[in-house]
Amino acid sequence: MPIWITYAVLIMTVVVIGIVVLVPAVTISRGGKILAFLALFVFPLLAVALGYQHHMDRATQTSFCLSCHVMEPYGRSLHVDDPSWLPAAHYQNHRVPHDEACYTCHTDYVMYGTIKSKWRGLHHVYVQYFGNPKPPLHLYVAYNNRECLHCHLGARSFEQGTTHTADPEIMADIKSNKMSCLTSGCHDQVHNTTKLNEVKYWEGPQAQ
Amino acid sequence: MNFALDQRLRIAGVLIVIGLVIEGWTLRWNSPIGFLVFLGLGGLFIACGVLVYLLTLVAIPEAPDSVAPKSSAVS
Repeated sequence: MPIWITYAVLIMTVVVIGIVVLVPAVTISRGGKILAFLALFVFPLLAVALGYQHHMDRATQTSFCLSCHVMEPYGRSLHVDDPSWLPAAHYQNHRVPHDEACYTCHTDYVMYGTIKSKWRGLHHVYVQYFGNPKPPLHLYVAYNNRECLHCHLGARSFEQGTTHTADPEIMADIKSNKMSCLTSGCHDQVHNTTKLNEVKYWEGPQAQ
Repeated sequence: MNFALDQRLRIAGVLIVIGLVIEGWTLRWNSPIGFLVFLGLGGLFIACGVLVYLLTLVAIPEAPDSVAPKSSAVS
């Protein structure tokens, strides 16, 4: 939803509240009572809901994640000039949207996954301001293949990949999350922030 | 006119406007702290304002004695 709608609702609410506050006598009439109800209850809740929605949408943006200093190396890792680096390959080849690169891979693709992600985000904020986070950061729980399969399941490169189809058990284990995509030795070059000074960087567009 | 009622509506209105101004300010703030200020400060003001308004509705302050009907009982 465009932000101007949120601003329009904010301004309209302030104007209507202004009428009720400056001329409280209007609330004597039935219409005035309805106006006061709209001004002091309905419109403020609507404005908060729109503002909340806007903040939630913005929290999915790459620039939002990278606004914390501790995330800076993770942003740099998206520009490593090496296709074996998983996040870099995804980012540079548009397998994830540039403006939602972090969120696309680090949300939970389950029911209420978005809400869980937001709670995790609030915990991140708490740690950022009241803890002492230092790279390399660690996930709260092991990365679930489900997040990879949200996009790759059914894709030819995944379903007919040489290693994936080498043994029927491998494919079953990947799909059931018994064999991790990331830690089983196949796609284990992830952000790797400790080696960022030893690699070359792609000269493409910078992380937003 | 009920001065106490007007006063409460004014308080509710001012609290909500302060909350809305904070909300509008945080909408331009692209960082997690912006969200916290939006929810923790703006949300708090707006919630307080709405609460004052709702409490005013369920417990409307009595009008001053000057406008209340006089008792006709005389001893």
